[in-house]
Amino acid sequence: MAMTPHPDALLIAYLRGELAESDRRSVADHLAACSECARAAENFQRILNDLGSSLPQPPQVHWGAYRAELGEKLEARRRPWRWQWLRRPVPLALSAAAAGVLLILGVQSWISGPLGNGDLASLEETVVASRLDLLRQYAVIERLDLWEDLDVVRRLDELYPGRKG
Amino acid sequence: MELSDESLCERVAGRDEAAFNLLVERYQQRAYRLAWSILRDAEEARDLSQEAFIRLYQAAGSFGGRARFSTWFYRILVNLCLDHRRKHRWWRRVVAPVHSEDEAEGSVVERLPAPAHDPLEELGRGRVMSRLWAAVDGLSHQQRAALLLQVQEGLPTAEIALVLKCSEATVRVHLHRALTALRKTLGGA
Repeated sequence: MAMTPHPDALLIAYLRGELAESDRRSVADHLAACSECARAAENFQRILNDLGSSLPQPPQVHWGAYRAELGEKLEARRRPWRWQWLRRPVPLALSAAAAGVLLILGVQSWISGPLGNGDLASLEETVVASRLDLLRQYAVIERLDLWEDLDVVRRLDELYPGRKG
Repeated sequence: MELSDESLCERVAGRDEAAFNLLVERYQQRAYRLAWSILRDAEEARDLSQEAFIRLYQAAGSFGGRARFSTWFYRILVNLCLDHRRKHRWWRRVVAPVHSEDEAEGSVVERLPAPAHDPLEELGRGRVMSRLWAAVDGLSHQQRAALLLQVQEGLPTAEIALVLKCSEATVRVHLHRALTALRKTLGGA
């Protein structure tokens, strides 16, 4: 009688009694005829028994502390994200500072009104002129293309003799 | 009368805190032990088992009662642990090489002839157990999870398949390859 194929993956189910009757009988017949599979089945059973009887135990845990920690984690998850963010001092302080700056700028803008080009030029002139003596003559200097060429400026009288004022 | 896990889970879906606390008390040890068996790290086992309870709380409404509560909860926990191991796989390969999950079908290892004598009788029992569990640590994620669910939690093949979200035939293959690898380790002294 021809031997049935090696059961391989069915061996574990056979050892655990999980096979249907027809499959169980087929595997049993094969094991009776195949010493290799019979030896494998025997080894598998011993390994399973040894594993089951020697389960390593994890480090001990204080279950009260475990549940308390779990409660804190669960509470943190239930809190809406925006409330969680408020509990962080640094982003809260930065946001408050940014809001303050925006508020001040907004109020200043509302008080002074919208700036036109003229107002802006006047502001620029005031700020720059307070630091640069040359720009006291701003109305003259702005017409010079080569305002940095001081020799030309000094020798204007020589370049245009006879012109007054 | 003591409420079933499934009834408690239904109450958790209605935000019954007492029911949730009771489920935690019932499963905390099993969850932590199973997580530790897969991860072999107490801190990670603590974190991930707690995460599994949090997800249980958040998803209790989707339980449905189609499967046993333990199957559903183990699936959450095992998936968390396996995902965590996969994310850190590169580091674990540097520290301790593990078998590839991509073993070819019908590898040569599985058909090696059995040892002429039983190796289990020759080695001291303590050494054998140490080598055995070291070899379990070296199995692929799926093989290890399937073996632990069977040996440690006593789950039948059908339930292991539901936890691992695969077929029963696949679970049998995982277990067969796992035991073949362990047998080879013991016989290869």
